[in-house]
Amino acid sequence: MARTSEISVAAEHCSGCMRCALACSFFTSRERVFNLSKSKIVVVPGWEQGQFEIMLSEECTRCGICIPYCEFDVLSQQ
Amino acid sequence: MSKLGGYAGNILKVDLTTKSITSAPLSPELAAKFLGGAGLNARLAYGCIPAHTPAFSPQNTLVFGAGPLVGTLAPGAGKTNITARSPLSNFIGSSGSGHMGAVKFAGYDHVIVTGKADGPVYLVIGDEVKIREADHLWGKDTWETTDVIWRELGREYAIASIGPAGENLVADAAIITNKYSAFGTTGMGAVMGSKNLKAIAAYGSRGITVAEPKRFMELVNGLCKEMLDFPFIQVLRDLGTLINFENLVTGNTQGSGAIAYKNCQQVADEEVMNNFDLQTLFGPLMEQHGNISCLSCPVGCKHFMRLKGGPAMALSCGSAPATNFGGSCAVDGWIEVYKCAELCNRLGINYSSAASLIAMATELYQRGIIDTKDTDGLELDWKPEVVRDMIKKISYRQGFGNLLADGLIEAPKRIGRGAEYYAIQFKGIGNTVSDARSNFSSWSSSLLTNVIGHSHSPKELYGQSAEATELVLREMGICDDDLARVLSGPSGRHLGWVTRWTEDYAFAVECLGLCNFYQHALNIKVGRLAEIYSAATGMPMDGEGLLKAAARGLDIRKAFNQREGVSRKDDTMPMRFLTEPLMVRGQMRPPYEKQKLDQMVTEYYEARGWDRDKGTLSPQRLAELTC
Repeated sequence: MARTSEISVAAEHCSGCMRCALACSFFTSRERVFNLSKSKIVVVPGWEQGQFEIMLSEECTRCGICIPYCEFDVLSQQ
Repeated sequence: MSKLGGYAGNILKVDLTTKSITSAPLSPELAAKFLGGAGLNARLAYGCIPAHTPAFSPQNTLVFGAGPLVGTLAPGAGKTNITARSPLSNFIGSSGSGHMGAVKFAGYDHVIVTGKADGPVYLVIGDEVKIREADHLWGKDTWETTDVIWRELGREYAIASIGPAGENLVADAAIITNKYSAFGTTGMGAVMGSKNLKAIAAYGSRGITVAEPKRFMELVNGLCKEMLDFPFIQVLRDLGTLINFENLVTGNTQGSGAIAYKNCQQVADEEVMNNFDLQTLFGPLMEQHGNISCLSCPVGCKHFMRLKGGPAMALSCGSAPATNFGGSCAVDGWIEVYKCAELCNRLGINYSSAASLIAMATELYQRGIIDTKDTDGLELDWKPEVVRDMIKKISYRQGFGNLLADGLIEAPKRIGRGAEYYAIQFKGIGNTVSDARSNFSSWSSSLLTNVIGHSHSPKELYGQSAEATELVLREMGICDDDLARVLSGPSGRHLGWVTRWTEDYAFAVECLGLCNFYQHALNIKVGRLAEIYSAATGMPMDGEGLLKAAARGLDIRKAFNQREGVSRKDDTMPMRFLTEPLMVRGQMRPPYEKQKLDQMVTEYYEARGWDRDKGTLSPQRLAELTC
């Protein structure tokens, strides 16, 4: 997929639903498979309750497919 | 039949006594018959747990299940279930949580844990399944346990752990996932403790496919839009389960119940709930507030709260501490009730039953039925510090707490002196939220008859007209034949059929792995749930078929209890509800008279197709379910 502009991450709004990661794994796999471990966006609970850490892996092409699946305004792209 | 979509396709079996770990394919026929999650868990528990096995026997089996939509983008598809014989009722126990769906990424729909480890262990369900020693975790609370396992395995793992309450076989012990979300009711944490199983960690690299990806995503996007267009969605996101709290206090909405107060001696109205206004909670008290979601939930009705001078913690249900500790135990003010909630969460004990136990003991003390000789010198009172002291004593089985730790059926029996009258329990589960005398609905009917005991399911249909009932059920997709049954009878509404239909709908939602919000608020047509099931699994299904499958799951739960000797006398209300009226906002609500109770039970048995006197399944139905 085409690499586009950087994705901005406002992790403080994240609710930990993982919908971004589920969408990434599904739409970026040829076989259309839901698989958190294959997602290029990784969400894990923080050490402090109510916090989540979000990482974009090196394989992330910034295609932005994850963005519409976030309903908490965490992800955005210019 | 080939492998279905949606399902991971395997059942894991772990014997902690022999340390044997095996896996078997999930039978597609069995999956289709019971849907998955809680329904198939009940069928597996029926098969795995020999009749009359004590709850703390190694032969009692914890069955974990995640339904066919869990692990996909279906909105709100995060709900998982644990089933086993309950130490509270000695009937089937069952509880749900929204944070263990990761087990499907390890390749399993269901996990059967039997036997007893010879020392503390935790179970890692990943691409490899391992039993690891847990001496270093024993004695730690659920937050500490989760942190240690995350350090050992990584924070991508979902962690379900027990605290000291589960280790000490407290009958109401809960299992806490990711530090806050509980498999709360029916004492599943105590069964886990009886196996020396401190925690389960789940994650993996296996994927979940769906049969018709394009159709599935169309349905997912449609459901998600409908969910986010729900008129009260922003209020739900802001308040979570506190959305209904003010109605319960003020009674401003027609048909609202009222919060039970001081062990159901009265209701918690505006006068006694002065210090529970939402403006104070979300104003001067709130330092930090944020949404938390179950797996794949776009709503996030759970919250993290940091209160000024109070706890900082995530909460599954913001309302439960206020209704249970603020209501049943009359603990005054937000900070005090959330301190109680934090303690319960860390120690791994269910809020509602802990509150009911402490409320019962306090009333017994105040009536002079027990005294300081019984309570190790503790003067029981409706005070937060006393309540928190009792939560600790119960969780660690210290002194008088050791007696209460056996639960709301056994503890009052051991106290004697008529104490059983003051135990407000439904098949051993404490009262929560509202007092069942304060409103009359399909929910109160389900409280009476459902196989688990006190439960939030199904949807509450209040004392509406037949027309209003028809409107709601048509929205939910009831077929004409079922509607005719619901609207039958001289009063124009057959409560048994209303209860059965709404229970079947709620259980279908649960078995698929979806949030209860689908049935409590959204009123999504059951046919649309069947469509998404079909698109995920490739299995043809319509709404009627989905409800029939859910009814099989509820019936196999009944079959479990029938084998354990359940009888009509178990389908009853707390004794207080049968004898004492209740003043609710200036109106006297009568107790449930025996004749009315009998009628409700009979109508429900008839609607379920059970023997109308004994409430038993027919041999033919039993054979159909167990073949």
